[in-house]
Amino acid sequence: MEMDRSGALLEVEGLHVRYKTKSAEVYALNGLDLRVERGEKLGLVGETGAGKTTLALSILRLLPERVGEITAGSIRYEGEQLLEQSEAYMLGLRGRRISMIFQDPMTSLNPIKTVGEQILEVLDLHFPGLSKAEKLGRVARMLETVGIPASRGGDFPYQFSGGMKQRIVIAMALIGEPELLLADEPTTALDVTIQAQILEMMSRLREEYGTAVILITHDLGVVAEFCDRVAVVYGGRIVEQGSVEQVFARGMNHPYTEGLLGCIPELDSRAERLTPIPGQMADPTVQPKGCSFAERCGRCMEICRTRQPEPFESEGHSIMCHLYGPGEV
Amino acid sequence: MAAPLVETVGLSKYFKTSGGGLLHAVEDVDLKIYPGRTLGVVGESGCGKSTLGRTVLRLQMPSAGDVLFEGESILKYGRRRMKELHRDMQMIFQDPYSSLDPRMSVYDLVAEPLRELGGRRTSRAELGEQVLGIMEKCGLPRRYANSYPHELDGGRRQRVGLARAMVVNPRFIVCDEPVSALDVSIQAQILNLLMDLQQEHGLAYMFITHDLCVVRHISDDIMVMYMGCVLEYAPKEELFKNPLHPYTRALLSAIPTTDLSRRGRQRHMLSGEVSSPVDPPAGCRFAPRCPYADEGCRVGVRLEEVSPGHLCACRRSREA
Repeated sequence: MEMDRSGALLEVEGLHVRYKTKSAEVYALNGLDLRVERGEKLGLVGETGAGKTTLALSILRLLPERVGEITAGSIRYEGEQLLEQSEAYMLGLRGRRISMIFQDPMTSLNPIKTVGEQILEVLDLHFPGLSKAEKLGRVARMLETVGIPASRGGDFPYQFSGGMKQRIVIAMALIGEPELLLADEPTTALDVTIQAQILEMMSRLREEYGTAVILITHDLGVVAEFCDRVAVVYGGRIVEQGSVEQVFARGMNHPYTEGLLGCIPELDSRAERLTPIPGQMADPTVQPKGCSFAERCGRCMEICRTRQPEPFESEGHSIMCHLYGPGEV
Repeated sequence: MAAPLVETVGLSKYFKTSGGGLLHAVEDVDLKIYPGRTLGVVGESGCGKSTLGRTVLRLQMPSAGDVLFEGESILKYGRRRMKELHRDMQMIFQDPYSSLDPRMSVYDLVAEPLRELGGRRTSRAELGEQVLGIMEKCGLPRRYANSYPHELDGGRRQRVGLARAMVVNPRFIVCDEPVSALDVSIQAQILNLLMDLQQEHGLAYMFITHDLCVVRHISDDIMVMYMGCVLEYAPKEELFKNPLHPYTRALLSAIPTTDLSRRGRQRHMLSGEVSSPVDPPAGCRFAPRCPYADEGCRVGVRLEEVSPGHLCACRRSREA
């Protein structure tokens, strides 16, 4: 695998994002650190409101204007500081070097343009030098790659099923051959058999193009099967990250990850009752002094309420919790 | 076993489409639901599971077949009898937000079914006791009585939906994807609550979902639907241990799991997608996507009892 100076494709450090509404300030990200290597499949998991989508929008600098604001931190992509770039630079980056696919394929396609035209748009924007014939050829090949007959390029979105629309959205995201794909709940709206098809296709495409993927999802099963590495988000921070093997082996985990794993009814489990995580997601309008999970944590200690834990790392598996630290485990 | 509480016989529901075709939403469904037990209905979107649930409650009239409650057909009931019956048969919906009137407080929302279906006049104090009691039981402390739906999170909204169903003291509830829109930790709370209420009140559930892990957790019997038809019907343990229909097998192997030992398992991948339920061709509905289908499958297929209690609609399941 090729390496650039820093090694990582994407490096997010100490990212703070705040949403300002009329009534309150919402602290969405509170010092989030994340590294994505080239060609890696990273799963970003967490509940609604944890900050998963905010992170993706921050990377692309697509936070809602005047409402969402990056207040601190840095985002480096291929060694370059994205937060300092001009809007023109970002336009050249979006869809070309970093692409994003959204949860709902129905609303991310233009209903009055054929799907072929919509895929072509990306090439028109980012590869104006190519001949028309070359561009059309690429669109046709891309459609075939995602499993849609090229002859259907002249059809409109409403003529496709949900699974096929999502394939088209993926085709749009990949035609610029980006190094990084942000996939925000790409299969959540789909049925399991179609989900399996889409995930398999995404794996195949990743092998082919070497694209790194950040898969944003609340489905731990999807992450366990599709990803190499997992990052668990809670309260706007990564509370645990490591390889899929490290996180799902049920050895050492952050209490929140443990809680998440305890909530899912597993296919093979005999448990009569599920063990939900007590309480609700912490109020994002107040910044807690200590750990944001403290109020819901069964193993909460004195220090958890007063001091923010530092990540404790061993062999690439890092957990942000006072239970783990040097000399313990 | 006791007599079934709810039963359908050859239940079908068709819709006319604008193109003049006939959409076969539910086709020839026989089911039995016993007191205190749960029938899980699984299938992908558009397979007719919600239509089945609504038809069982007679929220829409079936096109053919019959629905029995305690052995008695409910199709000939008049308005009055139906209203009485809806005290026994209730429903909760997937999206609690769109099924709750945004201008009503939690208290009024929970009191509404009592006022509508209550029958016997109750004093205001008595009504209040009942409403707050059921709210408490559904995990909604008194302080939420004056809140409005938009002030609640998804889990609490679903609790309001459940309290509305429970307040008339029903014996049967159709749960239509009640946890699909919720985060896993909230989903676990609601599933536990549903199971507690079932135990306490001897409720029967028809639990409609596309999530096989959830269905396995909560059901006693499971029915697998595809394009309006029942493909397989068996007790839970039997279905998961010994799935016979190729579609059931594909569904089971498609479920993503955090169990790493299952990571490299053999998958029964399906090609293609669900075809149109408008004027479907004769024969097995699943045949166009089925890796084992042959010419005979396009002629006809019947749901047959393969082993005691285990029904499967596949002519090749015996061969395998």
